[in-house]
Amino acid sequence: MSGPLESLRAMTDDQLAAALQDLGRSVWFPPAPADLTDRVVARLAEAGSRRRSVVERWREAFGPTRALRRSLVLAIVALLIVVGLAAAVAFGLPGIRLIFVGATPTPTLAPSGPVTASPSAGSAASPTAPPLGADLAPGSPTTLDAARAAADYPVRVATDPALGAPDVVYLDGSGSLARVTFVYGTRPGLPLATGATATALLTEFRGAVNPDAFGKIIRPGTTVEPVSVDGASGYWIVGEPHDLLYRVPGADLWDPVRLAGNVLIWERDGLTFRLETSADKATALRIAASMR
Amino acid sequence: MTVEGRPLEESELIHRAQRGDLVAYGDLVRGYQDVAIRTAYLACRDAAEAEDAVQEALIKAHRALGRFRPGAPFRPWLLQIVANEARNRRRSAGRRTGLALRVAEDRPSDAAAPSPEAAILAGEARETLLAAMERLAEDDRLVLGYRYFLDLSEAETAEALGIPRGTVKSRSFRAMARLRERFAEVAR
Repeated sequence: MSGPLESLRAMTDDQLAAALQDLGRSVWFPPAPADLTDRVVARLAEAGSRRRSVVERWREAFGPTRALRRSLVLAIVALLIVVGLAAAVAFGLPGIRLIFVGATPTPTLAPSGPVTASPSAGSAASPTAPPLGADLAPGSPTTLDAARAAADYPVRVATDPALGAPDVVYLDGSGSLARVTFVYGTRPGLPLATGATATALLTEFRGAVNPDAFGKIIRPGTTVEPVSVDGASGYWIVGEPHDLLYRVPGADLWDPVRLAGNVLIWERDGLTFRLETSADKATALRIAASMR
Repeated sequence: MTVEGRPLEESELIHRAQRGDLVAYGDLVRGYQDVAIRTAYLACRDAAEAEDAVQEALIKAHRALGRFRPGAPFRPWLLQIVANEARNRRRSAGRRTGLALRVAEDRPSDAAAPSPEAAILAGEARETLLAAMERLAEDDRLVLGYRYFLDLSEAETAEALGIPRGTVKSRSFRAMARLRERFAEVAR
Protein backbone atom coordinates (compact mmCIF):
# COMPACT_ATOMS: atom_id res chain seq x y z
CA MET A 1 0.00 0.00 0.00
CA SER A 2 3.03 2.25 0.23
CA GLY A 3 3.35 2.77 -3.54
CA PRO A 4 0.99 5.68 -4.19
CA LEU A 5 1.60 7.14 -0.77
CA GLU A 6 5.34 7.15 -1.26
CA SER A 7 5.10 8.68 -4.71
CA LEU A 8 2.97 11.50 -3.32
CA ARG A 9 5.24 12.07 -0.37
CA ALA A 10 8.30 12.22 -2.58
CA MET A 11 6.90 15.13 -4.56
CA THR A 12 8.12 18.69 -4.13
CA ASP A 13 5.50 21.41 -3.73
CA ASP A 14 5.88 22.31 -7.40
CA GLN A 15 5.36 18.72 -8.46
CA LEU A 16 2.37 18.44 -6.17
CA ALA A 17 0.93 21.64 -7.65
CA ALA A 18 1.33 20.20 -11.14
CA ALA A 19 -0.28 16.96 -10.00
CA LEU A 20 -3.23 18.90 -8.57
CA GLN A 21 -3.54 20.83 -11.82
CA ASP A 22 -3.60 17.60 -13.74
CA LEU A 23 -6.03 16.02 -11.30
CA GLY A 24 -8.32 19.05 -11.75
CA ARG A 25 -8.73 18.15 -15.39
CA SER A 26 -10.12 14.76 -14.45
CA VAL A 27 -12.39 15.90 -11.64
CA TRP A 28 -16.06 15.72 -12.49
CA PHE A 29 -17.83 19.08 -12.60
CA PRO A 30 -21.47 19.60 -13.50
CA PRO A 31 -21.74 20.83 -17.08
CA ALA A 32 -23.07 24.35 -17.55
CA PRO A 33 -26.47 24.15 -19.28
CA ALA A 34 -26.09 25.51 -22.81
CA ASP A 35 -28.88 28.03 -22.29
CA LEU A 36 -27.75 29.24 -18.88
CA THR A 37 -26.70 32.67 -20.08
CA ASP A 38 -29.75 33.01 -22.30
CA ARG A 39 -32.00 32.32 -19.33
CA VAL A 40 -30.22 35.00 -17.34
CA VAL A 41 -30.57 37.50 -20.16
CA ALA A 42 -34.26 36.64 -20.50
CA ARG A 43 -34.72 37.19 -16.76
CA LEU A 44 -32.97 40.55 -16.98
CA ALA A 45 -35.11 41.56 -19.94
CA GLU A 46 -38.24 40.48 -18.09
CA ALA A 47 -37.22 42.45 -15.01
CA GLY A 48 -36.72 45.46 -17.27
CA SER A 49 -40.20 45.17 -18.70
CA ARG A 50 -41.74 44.63 -15.29
CA ARG A 51 -40.28 47.94 -14.25
CA ARG A 52 -42.01 49.54 -17.21
CA SER A 53 -45.30 47.84 -16.53
CA VAL A 54 -45.34 49.25 -13.00
CA VAL A 55 -45.40 52.67 -14.65
CA GLU A 56 -48.21 51.47 -16.86
CA ARG A 57 -50.24 50.15 -13.97
CA TRP A 58 -49.73 53.40 -12.12
CA ARG A 59 -50.92 55.22 -15.19
CA GLU A 60 -53.98 53.00 -15.40
CA ALA A 61 -54.83 53.81 -11.78
CA PHE A 62 -55.62 57.34 -12.87
CA GLY A 63 -58.80 56.26 -14.62
CA PRO A 64 -61.52 58.45 -16.13
CA THR A 65 -62.99 59.21 -12.67
CA ARG A 66 -59.78 60.94 -11.81
CA ALA A 67 -59.55 62.81 -15.05
CA LEU A 68 -58.50 66.05 -13.44
CA ARG A 69 -55.70 64.53 -11.43
CA ARG A 70 -54.65 62.63 -14.49
CA SER A 71 -54.35 65.74 -16.62
CA LEU A 72 -52.43 67.43 -13.84
CA VAL A 73 -49.98 64.54 -13.79
CA LEU A 74 -49.71 64.67 -17.56
CA ALA A 75 -49.05 68.39 -17.39
CA ILE A 76 -46.29 67.86 -14.85
CA VAL A 77 -44.77 65.09 -16.95
CA ALA A 78 -44.95 67.30 -20.02
CA LEU A 79 -43.29 70.11 -18.08
CA LEU A 80 -40.53 67.78 -16.93
CA ILE A 81 -39.96 66.60 -20.47
CA VAL A 82 -39.75 70.19 -21.70
CA VAL A 83 -37.33 71.05 -18.90
CA GLY A 84 -35.34 67.92 -19.70
CA LEU A 85 -35.24 68.77 -23.37
CA ALA A 86 -34.20 72.32 -22.60
CA ALA A 87 -31.45 71.03 -20.33
CA ALA A 88 -30.33 68.56 -22.94
CA VAL A 89 -30.17 71.24 -25.58
CA ALA A 90 -28.58 73.80 -23.29
CA PHE A 91 -25.87 71.50 -21.96
CA GLY A 92 -25.45 69.46 -25.08
CA LEU A 93 -26.19 66.25 -23.17
CA PRO A 94 -26.29 63.14 -25.25
CA GLY A 95 -29.72 61.76 -26.09
CA ILE A 96 -32.45 61.64 -23.52
CA ARG A 97 -33.27 58.14 -22.44
CA LEU A 98 -36.57 57.06 -23.84
CA ILE A 99 -38.77 54.45 -22.34
CA PHE A 100 -40.38 52.64 -25.18
CA VAL A 101 -43.90 52.06 -23.99
CA GLY A 102 -44.78 49.90 -26.94
CA ALA A 103 -42.25 47.28 -26.01
CA THR A 104 -44.00 46.22 -22.82
CA PRO A 105 -44.70 42.56 -23.39
CA THR A 106 -48.34 41.76 -23.79
CA PRO A 107 -49.76 38.27 -23.34
CA THR A 108 -48.66 36.00 -26.12
CA LEU A 109 -51.06 34.20 -28.35
CA ALA A 110 -54.18 32.98 -26.61
CA PRO A 111 -56.89 31.63 -28.88
CA SER A 112 -59.75 34.06 -28.53
CA GLY A 113 -62.72 31.83 -29.25
CA PRO A 114 -65.18 32.30 -32.08
CA VAL A 115 -64.94 36.03 -32.52
CA THR A 116 -66.07 36.83 -36.01
CA ALA A 117 -64.36 39.59 -37.83
CA SER A 118 -66.32 42.75 -38.28
CA PRO A 119 -66.19 43.74 -41.91
CA SER A 120 -66.44 47.43 -41.21
CA ALA A 121 -63.01 48.93 -41.52
CA GLY A 122 -61.39 50.70 -38.63
CA SER A 123 -64.14 50.11 -36.12
CA ALA A 124 -64.09 48.20 -32.89
CA ALA A 125 -66.23 45.08 -32.60
CA SER A 126 -69.50 44.84 -30.68
CA PRO A 127 -69.45 45.83 -27.01
CA THR A 128 -70.23 42.29 -25.82
CA ALA A 129 -67.41 40.40 -27.56
CA PRO A 130 -63.84 41.63 -27.29
CA PRO A 131 -62.70 43.27 -30.52
CA LEU A 132 -60.76 41.14 -32.95
CA GLY A 133 -57.12 40.95 -31.95
CA ALA A 134 -57.64 42.24 -28.41
CA ASP A 135 -55.52 39.34 -27.22
CA LEU A 136 -52.88 40.00 -29.85
CA ALA A 137 -52.35 43.71 -30.19
CA PRO A 138 -51.10 46.10 -27.52
CA GLY A 139 -53.12 49.19 -26.71
CA SER A 140 -56.78 50.01 -27.26
CA PRO A 141 -58.98 49.85 -30.35
CA THR A 142 -59.30 53.12 -32.17
CA THR A 143 -59.74 54.43 -35.69
CA LEU A 144 -57.11 54.99 -38.34
CA ASP A 145 -57.71 58.73 -38.20
CA ALA A 146 -57.31 58.83 -34.44
CA ALA A 147 -54.11 56.79 -34.68
CA ARG A 148 -52.76 59.18 -37.29
CA ALA A 149 -53.61 62.13 -35.10
CA ALA A 150 -51.89 60.55 -32.08
CA ALA A 151 -48.63 59.50 -33.71
CA ASP A 152 -45.94 62.04 -34.55
CA TYR A 153 -45.03 60.11 -37.67
CA PRO A 154 -47.00 59.45 -40.83
CA VAL A 155 -48.93 56.25 -40.13
CA ARG A 156 -49.00 54.08 -43.22
CA VAL A 157 -51.48 51.38 -44.03
CA ALA A 158 -51.36 48.48 -46.49
CA THR A 159 -53.28 49.09 -49.68
CA ASP A 160 -52.96 45.59 -51.07
CA PRO A 161 -56.40 44.44 -52.27
CA ALA A 162 -55.97 40.92 -50.84
CA LEU A 163 -55.85 42.45 -47.37
CA GLY A 164 -58.14 45.42 -47.86
CA ALA A 165 -58.83 47.72 -44.93
CA PRO A 166 -57.94 46.53 -41.42
CA ASP A 167 -60.73 45.19 -39.24
CA VAL A 168 -59.46 46.82 -36.06
CA VAL A 169 -56.84 49.48 -35.45
CA TYR A 170 -55.02 49.48 -32.11
CA LEU A 171 -53.10 52.39 -30.69
CA ASP A 172 -50.61 52.12 -27.85
CA GLY A 173 -48.89 55.26 -26.58
CA SER A 174 -48.75 58.52 -28.46
CA GLY A 175 -46.36 60.92 -30.13
CA SER A 176 -42.99 59.34 -30.85
CA LEU A 177 -43.93 56.41 -28.62
CA ALA A 178 -47.08 55.61 -30.52
CA ARG A 179 -47.39 52.06 -31.73
CA VAL A 180 -50.11 51.35 -34.22
CA THR A 181 -51.26 47.79 -34.91
CA PHE A 182 -53.65 46.78 -37.65
CA VAL A 183 -55.50 43.51 -37.22
CA TYR A 184 -56.88 41.72 -40.25
CA GLY A 185 -59.53 39.01 -39.82
CA THR A 186 -60.31 36.29 -42.30
CA ARG A 187 -59.43 37.10 -45.90
CA PRO A 188 -60.24 34.97 -48.91
CA GLY A 189 -57.06 33.39 -50.26
CA LEU A 190 -54.99 34.12 -47.17
CA PRO A 191 -54.40 31.48 -44.48
CA LEU A 192 -55.38 32.09 -40.88
CA ALA A 193 -52.51 32.00 -38.44
CA THR A 194 -52.49 28.81 -36.38
CA GLY A 195 -54.90 28.98 -33.48
CA ALA A 196 -55.80 32.58 -34.20
CA THR A 197 -58.76 34.41 -35.68
CA ALA A 198 -56.55 36.83 -37.54
CA THR A 199 -54.86 36.56 -40.92
CA ALA A 200 -52.33 39.26 -40.35
CA LEU A 201 -51.03 41.66 -37.75
CA LEU A 202 -49.27 44.75 -39.00
CA THR A 203 -47.45 46.95 -36.51
CA GLU A 204 -45.52 50.17 -36.93
CA PHE A 205 -43.56 52.23 -34.45
CA ARG A 206 -40.42 54.28 -34.05
CA GLY A 207 -37.40 52.09 -33.35
CA ALA A 208 -34.74 50.06 -35.03
CA VAL A 209 -34.22 46.38 -35.52
CA ASN A 210 -31.12 44.98 -33.91
CA PRO A 211 -29.90 42.52 -36.53
CA ASP A 212 -26.86 41.57 -34.41
CA ALA A 213 -29.25 39.96 -32.00
CA PHE A 214 -31.01 37.72 -34.46
CA GLY A 215 -28.45 34.96 -34.23
CA LYS A 216 -28.66 34.90 -30.47
CA ILE A 217 -32.33 34.96 -29.72
CA ILE A 218 -33.87 33.13 -32.61
CA ARG A 219 -34.39 29.52 -31.64
CA PRO A 220 -33.08 26.61 -33.63
CA GLY A 221 -35.45 25.77 -36.45
CA THR A 222 -36.09 29.41 -37.21
CA THR A 223 -34.50 31.06 -40.20
CA VAL A 224 -33.82 34.73 -40.77
CA GLU A 225 -33.38 35.87 -44.33
CA PRO A 226 -32.39 39.43 -45.25
CA VAL A 227 -34.82 40.77 -47.85
CA SER A 228 -35.49 43.99 -49.66
CA VAL A 229 -38.92 45.47 -49.10
CA ASP A 230 -39.52 47.87 -51.93
CA GLY A 231 -35.93 49.11 -51.55
CA ALA A 232 -35.92 49.14 -47.74
CA SER A 233 -33.89 46.56 -45.85
CA GLY A 234 -35.80 43.95 -43.97
CA TYR A 235 -35.83 40.40 -42.66
CA TRP A 236 -38.10 37.46 -43.38
CA ILE A 237 -38.33 35.22 -40.34
CA VAL A 238 -39.77 31.75 -40.62
CA GLY A 239 -40.14 29.11 -37.94
CA GLU A 240 -41.25 28.85 -34.39
CA PRO A 241 -42.71 31.77 -32.50
CA HIS A 242 -39.97 33.82 -30.95
CA ASP A 243 -39.26 37.16 -29.43
CA LEU A 244 -37.81 40.01 -31.42
CA LEU A 245 -35.25 42.42 -30.15
CA TYR A 246 -35.36 46.11 -30.96
CA ARG A 247 -32.85 48.79 -30.33
CA VAL A 248 -34.37 51.92 -28.87
CA PRO A 249 -32.34 54.72 -27.34
CA GLY A 250 -30.50 53.38 -24.34
CA ALA A 251 -31.62 49.80 -24.41
CA ASP A 252 -32.45 46.63 -26.21
CA LEU A 253 -35.98 45.47 -25.73
CA TRP A 254 -37.67 42.18 -26.28
CA ASP A 255 -41.02 41.93 -27.87
CA PRO A 256 -42.92 38.72 -28.41
CA VAL A 257 -44.28 37.83 -31.79
CA ARG A 258 -47.98 37.37 -31.24
CA LEU A 259 -49.28 35.45 -34.20
CA ALA A 260 -47.85 31.99 -34.65
CA GLY A 261 -46.85 32.72 -38.21
CA ASN A 262 -44.04 34.15 -40.24
CA VAL A 263 -42.72 37.63 -39.71
CA LEU A 264 -41.58 40.22 -42.18
CA ILE A 265 -39.84 43.10 -40.51
CA TRP A 266 -38.44 46.16 -42.20
CA GLU A 267 -37.29 49.67 -41.53
CA ARG A 268 -38.06 52.84 -43.37
CA ASP A 269 -37.54 56.46 -42.36
CA GLY A 270 -36.70 55.62 -38.74
CA LEU A 271 -39.81 53.50 -38.39
CA THR A 272 -40.02 49.77 -37.94
CA PHE A 273 -42.78 47.84 -39.62
CA ARG A 274 -43.67 44.31 -38.68
CA LEU A 275 -46.02 42.06 -40.55
CA GLU A 276 -47.00 38.83 -38.83
CA THR A 277 -48.82 36.47 -41.12
CA SER A 278 -49.18 32.87 -42.21
CA ALA A 279 -49.03 33.98 -45.84
CA ASP A 280 -45.96 33.12 -47.91
CA LYS A 281 -42.98 35.38 -48.48
CA ALA A 282 -44.08 36.69 -51.88
CA THR A 283 -47.47 37.70 -50.48
CA ALA A 284 -45.91 39.29 -47.44
CA LEU A 285 -43.47 41.28 -49.59
CA ARG A 286 -46.32 42.38 -51.84
CA ILE A 287 -48.38 43.54 -48.87
CA ALA A 288 -45.36 45.34 -47.42
CA ALA A 289 -44.69 47.13 -50.69
CA SER A 290 -48.29 48.38 -50.72
CA MET A 291 -47.87 50.49 -47.57
CA ARG A 292 -48.97 54.05 -48.23
CA MET B 1 -4.92 29.62 -20.25
CA THR B 2 -6.00 32.21 -17.74
CA VAL B 3 -6.81 35.07 -20.04
CA GLU B 4 -9.24 34.95 -22.93
CA GLY B 5 -7.35 36.22 -25.93
CA ARG B 6 -9.72 38.91 -27.08
CA PRO B 7 -9.24 41.95 -24.87
CA LEU B 8 -10.53 44.51 -27.36
CA GLU B 9 -13.70 42.66 -28.04
CA GLU B 10 -14.32 42.12 -24.35
CA SER B 11 -13.82 45.75 -23.38
CA GLU B 12 -16.25 46.72 -26.12
CA LEU B 13 -18.80 44.20 -24.84
CA ILE B 14 -18.38 45.52 -21.31
CA HIS B 15 -18.83 49.06 -22.53
CA ARG B 16 -22.00 48.15 -24.39
CA ALA B 17 -23.32 46.05 -21.51
CA GLN B 18 -22.78 48.95 -19.12
CA ARG B 19 -24.97 51.03 -21.38
CA GLY B 20 -27.83 48.57 -21.04
CA ASP B 21 -27.19 46.30 -24.01
CA LEU B 22 -28.39 42.92 -22.78
CA VAL B 23 -27.22 41.07 -25.85
CA ALA B 24 -23.70 42.34 -25.27
CA TYR B 25 -23.96 41.26 -21.63
CA GLY B 26 -25.01 37.79 -22.72
CA ASP B 27 -22.06 37.58 -25.09
CA LEU B 28 -19.75 38.84 -22.40
CA VAL B 29 -20.63 36.26 -19.76
CA ARG B 30 -21.42 33.31 -22.02
CA GLY B 31 -17.72 32.51 -22.37
CA TYR B 32 -17.36 32.28 -18.60
CA GLN B 33 -20.32 30.10 -17.76
CA ASP B 34 -18.24 26.91 -17.56
CA VAL B 35 -15.62 28.31 -15.21
CA ALA B 36 -18.42 29.99 -13.25
CA ILE B 37 -20.20 26.67 -12.71
CA ARG B 38 -16.95 25.07 -11.58
CA THR B 39 -16.20 27.95 -9.24
CA ALA B 40 -19.64 27.63 -7.71
CA TYR B 41 -19.49 23.84 -7.53
CA LEU B 42 -16.17 23.84 -5.68
CA ALA B 43 -17.76 26.07 -3.06
CA CYS B 44 -21.23 24.57 -2.70
CA ARG B 45 -20.78 20.96 -3.89
CA ASP B 46 -24.22 20.58 -5.33
CA ALA B 47 -24.84 20.68 -9.08
CA ALA B 48 -28.30 22.26 -8.92
CA GLU B 49 -27.20 24.72 -6.27
CA ALA B 50 -24.17 25.65 -8.35
CA GLU B 51 -26.36 26.37 -11.36
CA ASP B 52 -28.72 28.52 -9.30
CA ALA B 53 -25.79 30.33 -7.75
CA VAL B 54 -24.33 31.14 -11.15
CA GLN B 55 -27.67 32.41 -12.46
CA GLU B 56 -28.12 34.61 -9.41
CA ALA B 57 -24.53 35.79 -9.61
CA LEU B 58 -24.93 36.77 -13.25
CA ILE B 59 -28.01 38.80 -12.34
CA LYS B 60 -26.11 40.48 -9.50
CA ALA B 61 -23.08 41.08 -11.70
CA HIS B 62 -25.32 42.81 -14.22
CA ARG B 63 -26.63 45.05 -11.49
CA ALA B 64 -23.10 45.79 -10.30
CA LEU B 65 -21.69 46.33 -13.78
CA GLY B 66 -21.77 50.09 -13.38
CA ARG B 67 -19.16 49.73 -10.64
CA PHE B 68 -16.84 47.61 -12.75
CA ARG B 69 -13.63 49.52 -13.41
CA PRO B 70 -12.95 49.70 -17.15
CA GLY B 71 -9.69 48.01 -18.06
CA ALA B 72 -9.72 45.68 -15.05
CA PRO B 73 -9.81 41.94 -15.74
CA PHE B 74 -13.43 40.87 -15.96
CA ARG B 75 -13.13 37.16 -15.23
CA PRO B 76 -11.95 37.34 -11.60
CA TRP B 77 -14.42 40.15 -10.92
CA LEU B 78 -17.23 37.92 -12.10
CA LEU B 79 -15.89 34.84 -10.32
CA GLN B 80 -15.79 36.70 -7.03
CA ILE B 81 -19.50 37.36 -7.29
CA VAL B 82 -20.08 33.73 -8.23
CA ALA B 83 -17.92 32.40 -5.38
CA ASN B 84 -19.64 34.65 -2.84
CA GLU B 85 -23.07 33.63 -4.00
CA ALA B 86 -22.18 29.93 -3.87
CA ARG B 87 -20.59 30.13 -0.41
CA ASN B 88 -23.49 32.14 0.97
CA ARG B 89 -25.96 29.64 -0.36
CA ARG B 90 -24.11 26.77 1.17
CA ARG B 91 -23.89 28.52 4.51
CA SER B 92 -27.51 29.59 4.58
CA ALA B 93 -28.53 26.03 3.75
CA GLY B 94 -26.59 25.05 6.87
CA ARG B 95 -24.68 22.37 5.04
CA ARG B 96 -21.15 21.74 6.11
CA THR B 97 -20.40 19.08 3.58
CA GLY B 98 -21.60 18.61 0.06
CA LEU B 99 -20.98 15.94 -2.49
CA ALA B 100 -17.39 14.73 -2.53
CA LEU B 101 -15.41 15.52 -5.63
CA ARG B 102 -14.77 12.52 -7.79
CA VAL B 103 -12.72 11.67 -10.82
CA ALA B 104 -14.78 11.68 -13.99
CA GLU B 105 -15.15 8.34 -15.80
CA ASP B 106 -13.74 9.76 -18.99
CA ARG B 107 -11.35 12.59 -19.40
CA PRO B 108 -12.91 15.47 -21.26
CA SER B 109 -12.01 15.16 -24.92
CA ASP B 110 -10.51 18.63 -25.02
CA ALA B 111 -8.20 17.97 -22.07
CA ALA B 112 -4.55 18.69 -22.59
CA ALA B 113 -2.17 15.83 -23.09
CA PRO B 114 -1.26 14.21 -19.79
CA SER B 115 1.73 15.80 -18.16
CA PRO B 116 4.67 13.68 -16.92
CA GLU B 117 3.24 14.04 -13.40
CA ALA B 118 0.01 12.48 -14.56
CA ALA B 119 1.93 9.42 -15.60
CA ILE B 120 3.34 9.17 -12.08
CA LEU B 121 -0.05 9.86 -10.53
CA ALA B 122 -2.05 7.04 -11.95
CA GLY B 123 -5.05 5.37 -10.37
CA GLU B 124 -4.62 4.98 -6.68
CA ALA B 125 -2.32 7.98 -6.12
CA ARG B 126 -4.82 10.16 -7.93
CA GLU B 127 -7.66 8.98 -5.69
CA THR B 128 -5.48 9.48 -2.63
CA LEU B 129 -4.66 13.03 -3.64
CA LEU B 130 -8.31 13.87 -4.25
CA ALA B 131 -9.40 12.29 -0.97
CA ALA B 132 -6.71 14.28 0.85
CA MET B 133 -8.01 17.48 -0.77
CA GLU B 134 -11.48 16.63 0.47
CA ARG B 135 -10.25 16.40 4.03
CA LEU B 136 -8.92 19.94 4.07
CA ALA B 137 -10.76 22.76 5.77
CA GLU B 138 -12.85 24.94 3.42
CA ASP B 139 -10.36 27.82 3.20
CA ASP B 140 -7.49 25.50 2.32
CA ARG B 141 -9.59 23.48 -0.07
CA LEU B 142 -10.83 26.52 -1.93
CA VAL B 143 -7.47 28.18 -2.30
CA LEU B 144 -5.96 25.02 -3.78
CA GLY B 145 -9.09 24.19 -5.75
CA TYR B 146 -9.33 27.62 -7.37
CA ARG B 147 -5.63 27.86 -7.94
CA TYR B 148 -5.04 24.39 -9.39
CA PHE B 149 -8.32 22.68 -10.29
CA LEU B 150 -9.64 25.81 -12.01
CA ASP B 151 -6.24 27.00 -13.15
CA LEU B 152 -6.81 30.52 -11.82
CA SER B 153 -3.75 32.70 -11.41
CA GLU B 154 -2.68 33.82 -7.97
CA ALA B 155 -4.22 37.25 -8.59
CA GLU B 156 -7.46 35.75 -9.85
CA THR B 157 -7.67 33.38 -6.89
CA ALA B 158 -7.15 36.35 -4.57
CA GLU B 159 -9.95 38.31 -6.19
CA ALA B 160 -12.33 35.36 -6.41
CA LEU B 161 -11.84 34.63 -2.71
CA GLY B 162 -11.77 38.29 -1.74
CA ILE B 163 -8.42 38.01 0.04
CA PRO B 164 -5.08 39.78 -0.53
CA ARG B 165 -2.66 38.20 -2.94
CA GLY B 166 -0.12 37.64 -0.19
CA THR B 167 -2.71 35.63 1.73
CA VAL B 168 -3.18 33.38 -1.30
CA LYS B 169 0.56 32.68 -1.23
CA SER B 170 0.76 31.94 2.48
CA ARG B 171 -2.51 30.05 2.60
CA SER B 172 -1.51 27.88 -0.38
CA PHE B 173 1.80 27.12 1.25
CA ARG B 174 0.18 26.01 4.48
CA ALA B 175 -2.60 24.17 2.66
CA MET B 176 0.03 22.17 0.78
CA ALA B 177 1.62 21.18 4.10
CA ARG B 178 -1.72 20.13 5.52
CA LEU B 179 -2.48 18.24 2.32
CA ARG B 180 0.65 16.17 2.89
CA GLU B 181 -0.49 15.42 6.44
CA ARG B 182 -3.70 13.96 5.03
CA PHE B 183 -1.97 11.53 2.68
CA ALA B 184 -1.25 9.00 5.40
CA GLU B 185 -4.80 9.25 6.79
CA VAL B 186 -6.52 8.57 3.51
CA ALA B 187 -4.08 5.96 2.20
CA ARG B 188 -4.68 3.83 5.32
